[in-house]
Amino acid sequence: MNKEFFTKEVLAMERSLYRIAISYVGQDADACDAVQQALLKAWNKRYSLRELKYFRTWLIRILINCCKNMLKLKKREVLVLDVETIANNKNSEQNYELYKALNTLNEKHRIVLLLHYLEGYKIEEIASILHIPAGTVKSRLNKARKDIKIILEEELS
Amino acid sequence: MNANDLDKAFKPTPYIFTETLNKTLHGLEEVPTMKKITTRTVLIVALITALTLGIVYAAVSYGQQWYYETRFTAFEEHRPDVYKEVIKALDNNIKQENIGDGAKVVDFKVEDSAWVENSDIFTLSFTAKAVDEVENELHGMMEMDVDGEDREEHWLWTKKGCGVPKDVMEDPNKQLILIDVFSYENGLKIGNSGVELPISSYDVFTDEEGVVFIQVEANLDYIKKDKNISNAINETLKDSMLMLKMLYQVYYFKDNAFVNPVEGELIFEVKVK
Repeated sequence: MNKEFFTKEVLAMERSLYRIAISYVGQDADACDAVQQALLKAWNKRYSLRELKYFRTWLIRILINCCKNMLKLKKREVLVLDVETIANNKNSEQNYELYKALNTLNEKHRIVLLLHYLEGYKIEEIASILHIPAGTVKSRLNKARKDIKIILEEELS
Repeated sequence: MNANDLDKAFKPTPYIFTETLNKTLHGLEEVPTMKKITTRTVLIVALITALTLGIVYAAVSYGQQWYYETRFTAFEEHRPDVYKEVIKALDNNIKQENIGDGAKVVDFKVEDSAWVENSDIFTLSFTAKAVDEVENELHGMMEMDVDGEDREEHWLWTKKGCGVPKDVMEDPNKQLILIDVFSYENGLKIGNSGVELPISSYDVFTDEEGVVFIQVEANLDYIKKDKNISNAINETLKDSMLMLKMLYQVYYFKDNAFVNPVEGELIFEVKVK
């Protein structure tokens, strides 16, 4: 894998990397740290990836692990939604209700939902990224869908 | 629920994220595949040589020459000119200070540095040793979960292999402690500016003597092009010496968790030619 391929793929994944990182760590500065770590780690270990077609799922897995390690090291018990930051950076393009609802979800359910509906990965691919059985992906996806529906309905009522 | 709705839950990608991504990508060095010789091989060869010549084994002299000759021989093989310039520019007379609570737990220091304008490369090597080697066994945090796999238990990579720490530590009866560098706020900072000096690659490993060795490379071409960084360097530079600061943490590993972190800071000066 050369730098050209690596750069091209990473740039194409920019939005995905941001969404995944922010959904774990919650704040822009931490998302930047996590993606920087993930890119350096991936670049240093690039020769361990045998098939380039798996680059994207491989990089996402590394990013998720960097985010998880960051949360462990920072001893955060749960992802804290920084409401103040959101209020200060209100952007008309953002759907805050959905963002808040997503953040209410359990981390395991949230990431499955994002990888499937937003990043477009199939059940088997998510199973490979998260190293969990496909059946578990399905059940988490099902639970996430139900939970987010309830949360949104409660907010609307 | 569709991708459009979900995407709107997130604000537009902030500029700082795009900038971080671009800076990191720009700084990556296209270095040939690492060809690492195992420490065991090196020791056997050294032992045979010593026995043959009747030389008594002397303590390892850590530094970049040792690293490039034993761990990362590809540098000399593939970029011989740059290698020669780095070796020629090596400065091991580093004025430095290790402060904070971390200094009570870890003897952390810069071994040598080489600032080579001609080849646009800046290299640094560090060593860290547990202050209390009877009680503690030190490894680098980067040696934890290095394969990127997601497991319930953390795995440590050592010369014994990869596995849960108690199986691969030199002495599992000791307390495992981990030094964390180059993550979060731990990058190299230029003087008191708070501006980070970005690195392009690094290597962290623990050798046979229980010393954690850290090798770092930075791309000067990239640094020179970034006004913010080059301004911070120019403002900090005094008599060709550049003050750098590096924050680090030492974690205790207990019950599969990183606990009781202590923070230290290494403040040092490198020669800029």
